[in-house]
Amino acid sequence: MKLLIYSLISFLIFNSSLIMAFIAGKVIFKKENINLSSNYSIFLSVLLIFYFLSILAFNLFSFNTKYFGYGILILPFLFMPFIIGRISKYERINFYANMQIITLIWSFLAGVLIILGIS
Amino acid sequence: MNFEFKNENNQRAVLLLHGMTGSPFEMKQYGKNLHKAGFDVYCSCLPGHGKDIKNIKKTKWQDWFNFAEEEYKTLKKNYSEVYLGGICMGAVLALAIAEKHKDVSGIIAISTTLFLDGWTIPWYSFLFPMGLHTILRFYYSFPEQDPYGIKNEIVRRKISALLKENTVALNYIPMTCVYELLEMSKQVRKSIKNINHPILIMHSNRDDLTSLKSADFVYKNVSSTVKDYIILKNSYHLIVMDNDKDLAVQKSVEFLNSISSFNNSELKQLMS
Repeated sequence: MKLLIYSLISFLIFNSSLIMAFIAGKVIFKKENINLSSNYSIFLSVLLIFYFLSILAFNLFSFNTKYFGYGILILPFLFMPFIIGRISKYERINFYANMQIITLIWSFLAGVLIILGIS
Repeated sequence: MNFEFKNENNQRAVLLLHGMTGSPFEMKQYGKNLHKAGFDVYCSCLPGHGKDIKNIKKTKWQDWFNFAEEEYKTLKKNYSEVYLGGICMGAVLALAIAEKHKDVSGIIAISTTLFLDGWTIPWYSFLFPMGLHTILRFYYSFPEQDPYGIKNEIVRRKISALLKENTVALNYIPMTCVYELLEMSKQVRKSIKNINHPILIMHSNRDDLTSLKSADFVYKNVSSTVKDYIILKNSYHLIVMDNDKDLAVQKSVEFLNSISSFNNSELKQLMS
């Protein structure tokens, strides 16, 4: 149970960090400094990896428990960045960046609801 | 930037295709030498390539393919033999066109880039899937850096200076470009068995961008009965500008003449 809670907390931490980082990214990427943009996107990639790992960890630790349904609930968020990445176009990059932020906010809210449900 | 080297009444043409984020500049000397050997040579800048990094981010691999295919069709109307020659992404493009057009007379695939696994690929390449398949690919570009695909230090210094001026190629490789190249490579790998054209594969065993794995894959999987695979040892990725450039020309000319139905004396008669 402890591991389940820890994985959910880490999910919320990485999720909120990603929301803030993507919002800050909208300013950073606008500057069109290639080095800065590249380094910042590496930072975002690392955050995304931890975000994915936390979703997987929550699913793993909720397996065979009564909270397994919650794991299924947040599992789609694992694929959302890839789906958005697949359909996105450079010409409408702001729109897709906003879509990414919105899905992260949804997943954060889902995480909050789950923590309330468990407690 | 585009170039054409033509002779009167020639029946043999080579369409050259440059590499990812490169330009016809990198193929010019190679093209000149093929022209000296009796071939008409054409090379145009692929869509999105040039000076502005924004253009390339908007370009899909289908744009490169459609453009190169149109160039090929135009040449095919005027020549009885049209060969495709490409370096890096250009080689993948040449394979893609050959998969669709059975009338391609032959292919020269130099430093074919089906996999990005060369020794200069950055240490953080394990993050590439995250960058490639999410919207981060529109923001991430990695800088062209030493050795710029060139082993010869004198040429490398010149290329480095030209890249800083941003005149002959982009000095950054946008992740979108890598994404499109890998998407095109995926398509080519799927239907590589359809290639039964004569093919010459040249690849350096010290290629900094793509290892011999790509060239091995092409050699093992094409259905061509006439196929030749040359591993070069004194160059990096940009073979046509590096230490092995003369050897590359020599082998290319030998290959093209060996598969051409015109011999040199016939051609001289035609052209005179």
